[in-house]
Amino acid sequence: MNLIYLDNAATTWPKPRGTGAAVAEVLSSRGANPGRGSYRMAELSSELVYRCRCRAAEFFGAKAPERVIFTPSCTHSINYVLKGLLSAGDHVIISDMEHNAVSRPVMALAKKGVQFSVAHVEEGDAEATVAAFRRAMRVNTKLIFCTHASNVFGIKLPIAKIGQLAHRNGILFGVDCAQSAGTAPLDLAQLPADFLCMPAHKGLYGMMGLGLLIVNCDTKLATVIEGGTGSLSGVNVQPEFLPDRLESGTLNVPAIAALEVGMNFISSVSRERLEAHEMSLICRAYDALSSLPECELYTQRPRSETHVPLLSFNIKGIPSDDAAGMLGERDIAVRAGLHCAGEAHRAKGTQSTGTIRICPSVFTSSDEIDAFLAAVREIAEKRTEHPR
Amino acid sequence: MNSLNSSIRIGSYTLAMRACELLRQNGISCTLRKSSDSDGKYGCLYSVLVDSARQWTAEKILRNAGIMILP
Repeated sequence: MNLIYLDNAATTWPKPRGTGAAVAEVLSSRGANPGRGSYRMAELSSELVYRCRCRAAEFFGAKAPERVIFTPSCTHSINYVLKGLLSAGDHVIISDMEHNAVSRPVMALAKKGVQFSVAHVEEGDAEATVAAFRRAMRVNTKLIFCTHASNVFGIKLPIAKIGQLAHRNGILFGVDCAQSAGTAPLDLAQLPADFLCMPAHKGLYGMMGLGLLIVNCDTKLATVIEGGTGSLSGVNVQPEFLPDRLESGTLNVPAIAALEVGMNFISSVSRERLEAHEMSLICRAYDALSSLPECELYTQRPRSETHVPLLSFNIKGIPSDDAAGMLGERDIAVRAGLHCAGEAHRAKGTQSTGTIRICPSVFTSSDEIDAFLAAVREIAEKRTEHPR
Repeated sequence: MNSLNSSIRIGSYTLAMRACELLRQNGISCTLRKSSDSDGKYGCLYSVLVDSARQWTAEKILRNAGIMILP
């Protein structure tokens, strides 16, 4: 039996055709350290990195390629923003839908005197959510940083409106786009955001080990990591200019090559078509699960305006990890538990049970969703026949 | 005949690549070379080589684009 992979919110799989070849080419013939040597292979490696940087800038509407920073992960990107901006006495607002990639660094900063507030996200009600952020603002609020979409419930935050609120009040605005980059529209020519953070390996169909930080303002981030950049080596302080200021150490060139393939793939399919396909699949799953009395859902029916295509559910009476294990025995890959987002579960009251999360990709078929639904029905019926 | 004999020094590879793109878009021939300064003040840097007759124009284009040129 073939694996039915519905864990694309953790990382997309499979990757587009050509990804493996692009990575292999780097390892076989472009393996030099970029931005360091002056021989031909080093130039090829540097050119590849620059080309991908330009592609990412174009993809997200960044003003210039140097505003695209390659990092080891989305988590690193988020840490660079939070720790590069905030110091004792500053105030930051986050939402109650955050991943630990946001809430943990904020908690660490709180121990150093940074103040924070948590704004409640009202699903499907942009005005109420924006009002919650507005109420949380203080005179010393320096940054609003929030997720674009919950990695547990798929609920989107109205980031355009939150960004407008921030900028009207002289506050910087950063977004964790881990679950939306590549799927949802993100154009910095329209979006009033100062920092976008994202991984390469999820909706951008790249590889693990690479994140992006897109800087859309002239505020200079203090550095979290300093080191070799291949530039101004005679100066013993970190360069002031981007991307070098925030890119110490050797870049993950194989992953950058894979990211370029991923972004080109999304453009060739069209992001809109990709989103529509995944949303139709998640609605197919939602409708079927909501008709099963044994299943519990936690959100409204997903819509592109208010959700990304992922959902959480439980089979009543079966712990989420057990249910995910039963699905795994049937070669269906889902994720269960708290999904590194305890705050989001507390907000929805699912912290004691966790949830089962499914997320399709462009490669998921409706037949696979139907097979998943059949397996859920079978597990639920067995549970009803043999309750614990 | 043009010769790319004047050097515009830029600290970052990314900015130097963008500089070359901008200059070519403006009809100025250039080439990029990794280099270092002779006194070791800056160490590793990138030289965008242009025709000396176009250097002033080239530097103006780059400064207008916000690209920092090293002295």
